[in-house]
Amino acid sequence: MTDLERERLFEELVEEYMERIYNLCYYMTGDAEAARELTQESFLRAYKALGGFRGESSVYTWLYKIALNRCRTYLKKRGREKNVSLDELHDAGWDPAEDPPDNLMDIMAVRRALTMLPPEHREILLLFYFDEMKYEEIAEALDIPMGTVKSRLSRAKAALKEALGYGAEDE
Amino acid sequence: MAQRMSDERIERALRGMPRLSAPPGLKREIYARARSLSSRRKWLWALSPLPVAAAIGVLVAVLLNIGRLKPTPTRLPQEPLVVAPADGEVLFPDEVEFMTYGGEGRVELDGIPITGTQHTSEPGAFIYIPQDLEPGYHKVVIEIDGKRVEASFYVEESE
Repeated sequence: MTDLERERLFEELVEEYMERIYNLCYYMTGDAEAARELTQESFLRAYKALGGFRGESSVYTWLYKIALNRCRTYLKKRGREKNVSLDELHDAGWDPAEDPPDNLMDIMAVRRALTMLPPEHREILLLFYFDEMKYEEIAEALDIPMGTVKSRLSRAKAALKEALGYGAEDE
Repeated sequence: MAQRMSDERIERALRGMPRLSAPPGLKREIYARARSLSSRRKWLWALSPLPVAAAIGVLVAVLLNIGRLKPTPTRLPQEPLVVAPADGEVLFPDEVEFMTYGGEGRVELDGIPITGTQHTSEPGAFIYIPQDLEPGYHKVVIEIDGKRVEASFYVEESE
């Protein structure tokens, strides 16, 4: 890849995915400032590594893989997020006028429950539901087999229900 | 216990979590940091011995029959300088390849004098590739003729 090709690809990546990576980092960490920093780091790592990108996965899932690694490293150091409120969502860049959900109570409950999950459950739920990735794409982004994607997703959903206060006896 | 939500409601809530706008200026910051990285790399390239580039240069000179053409010398700083890593940079262990400029002086990594530096084609410029560098903060210092400069960098665990 020439320098020019690399610059162009990098620009495409930033234009296309910066917002999504920022959202992913935010919902993984619950911290707008950390999400900003992690988004920057993810793109810089991608920039450094673009020359060696071999195209064995899509550049999109490759970028997600980098961002998720950054988030996991951050969470190892920092631990669980603490604040889940409408105010912090607003501070993080949510404009209710543009994106008014009709199920806000449900969303906030699910969001609180998400924060109680380990990162591996949180990330797979975000990738599947929030980012609407396919199983194959999640397998690439997480570097796990497709069968593991399905079983982990199923366990993550069960853990989410548990965190929402629905124990196994409610099933 | 909260009122039980159906699976469908839970999934709808997950899909409908607010889409956030990235903070103003984030894109500009990303491009600025990438450009800074890019220009540093270009400078390193200019200082590094690159046989392929030299061969291409010779070939071009021969083809154009312009043997008297003098290459423009790379402008190097006059003061001692740690060229790479940039101060504050975060790297993986295999990315650490630091370069100092300033002549024959004392170069230390984390307080230990460095041996095994390699001269580049430019006098006064050295490259050193540390082995088995542990994750964490590190500091490289060069002292030449009573002048001292240093750069700190952070090495992360390999992904």
